[in-house]
Amino acid sequence: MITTAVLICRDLLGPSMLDPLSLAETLGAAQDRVAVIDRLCAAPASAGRAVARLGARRAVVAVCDHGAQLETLAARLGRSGLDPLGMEPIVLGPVLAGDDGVSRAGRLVRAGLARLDAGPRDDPATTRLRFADGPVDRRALLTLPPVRYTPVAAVDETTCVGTERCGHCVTICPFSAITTTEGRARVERTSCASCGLCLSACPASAITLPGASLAEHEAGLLAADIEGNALAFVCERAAARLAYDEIPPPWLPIEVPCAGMVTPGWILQGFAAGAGDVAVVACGEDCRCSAAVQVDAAVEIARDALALTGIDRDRVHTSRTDRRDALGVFAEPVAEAIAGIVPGPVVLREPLATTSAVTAIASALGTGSDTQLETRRTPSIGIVDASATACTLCGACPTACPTGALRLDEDQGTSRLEFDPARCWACSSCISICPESALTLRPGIDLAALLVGPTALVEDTIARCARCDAPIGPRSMLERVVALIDDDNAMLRVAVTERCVDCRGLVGPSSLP
Amino acid sequence: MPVTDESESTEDGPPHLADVAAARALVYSVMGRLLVTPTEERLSTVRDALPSLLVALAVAPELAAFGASQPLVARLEDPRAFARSIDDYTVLFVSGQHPGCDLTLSARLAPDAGAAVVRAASASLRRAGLAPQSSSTTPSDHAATLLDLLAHCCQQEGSAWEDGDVARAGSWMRQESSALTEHLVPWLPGVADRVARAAPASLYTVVVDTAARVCRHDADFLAALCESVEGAE
Repeated sequence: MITTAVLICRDLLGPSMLDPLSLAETLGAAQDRVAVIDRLCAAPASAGRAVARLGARRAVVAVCDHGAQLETLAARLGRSGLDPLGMEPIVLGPVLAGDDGVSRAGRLVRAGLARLDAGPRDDPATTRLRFADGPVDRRALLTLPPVRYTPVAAVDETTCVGTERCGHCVTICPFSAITTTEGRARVERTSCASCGLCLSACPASAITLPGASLAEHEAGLLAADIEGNALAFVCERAAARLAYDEIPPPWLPIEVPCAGMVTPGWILQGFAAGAGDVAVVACGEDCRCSAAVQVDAAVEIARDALALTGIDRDRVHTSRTDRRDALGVFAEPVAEAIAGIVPGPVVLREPLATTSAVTAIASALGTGSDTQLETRRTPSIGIVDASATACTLCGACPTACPTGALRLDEDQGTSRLEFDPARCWACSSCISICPESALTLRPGIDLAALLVGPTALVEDTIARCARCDAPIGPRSMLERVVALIDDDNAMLRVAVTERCVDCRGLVGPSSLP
Repeated sequence: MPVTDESESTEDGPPHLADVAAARALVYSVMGRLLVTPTEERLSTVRDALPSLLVALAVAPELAAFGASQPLVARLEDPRAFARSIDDYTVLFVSGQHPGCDLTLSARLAPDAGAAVVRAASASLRRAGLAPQSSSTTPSDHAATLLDLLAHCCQQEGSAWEDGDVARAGSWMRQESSALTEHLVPWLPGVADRVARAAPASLYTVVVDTAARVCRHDADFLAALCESVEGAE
């Protein structure tokens, strides 16, 4: 059974635009999912029948222009069995009219298909129903009003690390729609405006939002085959104001609910995937999320990180005022892809998005291994260090770290505190919890550290029980405990330093040296 | 690549709310029937209801609750759908081998808390004019009993819509909404996850998962419809 279909308006076909054969070639294996529909933009009933006949639950809908009756079309497709949020509209007319149109259209359709296949669109937790035409009344003859579904964010409780350890989503939500209940983040469905800011703020990828989830964007970016093109993250409100023929090749537009969800790592991942330039196009000063600060910070950090690797920082563009400003971005010449870059998997979850992209770019160029970047604007990446004399390897910091950047490793009689700079989110949770004040955090990107990878910050041998040889704990921790015991309490000192938990009760005067 | 060449045609008008309620009643009834101890007779009733269920789901396919029922319909259409269902039911819900898979919430709670849950479910049944069962296999808070309660309320709601009695329909919808949000939505999704882990290939994985999804989507639908009806009353 075909789960995802591609519906194409017949008006897109023509000698100067799209022909079925070239489209079939660009879609590759997806071509058996395609149906061409007469006057699709006018939301004909035949679109619904095509979906029903294919048995599709989701559909990429390729329409001619922004005048298409997408809401009516969504309702008709919904009545034919499409998932509540299963329609991914793509405006192809202006794209096809431009240079290299068929190839770009194919990329956009493939990206849409990949996004639809990557995330569920029928999860009750991430959909919200509303009636389009007001209340039920006698004039409507007691019939079901037109149903519309909108996406809402939802937190996966099994993945969320809890608001005590993290809580970034609660802080960043501009609509106060995320609250804390019993240490867990919860989305208030009626307040969620589907802006997506919480998604990219979550270091655990615990939040989903149909159409904007990280997994969907990752799949879409991978399928879009960015190499040799330029990538534009366009806020959906800005996209509605721009005609797509105003986004000329080689720019590939990727729509996001709000430009504020684009992080430095997303921009850098664009370069790591082979884009020559990357732009973030926000909706302007009337942004419903007041995301200008986030957009500026993300762009500046990405520019600084690029400069760190020796790449021109002006390859990152931004527009956050009006339509003319956005058009200015697309009018600028686009650079070639970074030399030597080999596109790999796309990762949008921070801090890995930033650190893996910087590492990939630096490795491709073979530069920058002795440079550091201090990111004071938004300290979203950091380097943790530990004092070998103060750290007792008690294990508190790994339990507090929401991203797994700190890890306590015990094997072969040694206890080791390991730090992975690629995963540090600079949240300070480890600093707050350390009972010995042994840790320091330096916000910023340390390219040398990233290229080296995970390192042991502190290492110590594990003391063993003098009676049964079971492990007791790191010697440094035992020494710290002993320092707190009165000098005249020799039995307790022996019990702590020389006996495991099971044998401790057996310590008597005869155990003393 | 298939190229359709269809002229535009007219569509049916929006469905009457009485038909929507009747369709929802049938969906709940089938799911309820599937979650009681299976017998050949009961399974045969479900098999016979399948054509009617397909018609019912076509009444308002745009409702996510109906879309969420499709995997169950697809499974029931399989001629081998009921193979092993009696064994699976026994292992999953009766034997106690999978305690998290209980179809009654009270079974997993402390005795006092469990009694309160049963009392609340019994009160919901009485409000709807139904008598709480004393059966130990399907107590008042058993998923099947509550799904039957919803089927009954939907039928009554459908009659009210047919009579054009918006206030009465609203009253039944509020009962449905309360049955869903108080009794089923809070715990059925958890049971669905555990059943899926315990027996991923079983018919009951599809049944309980569908029931959980339908209940959550329907609670959303009812909340919006109740709000609309309050505006019209």
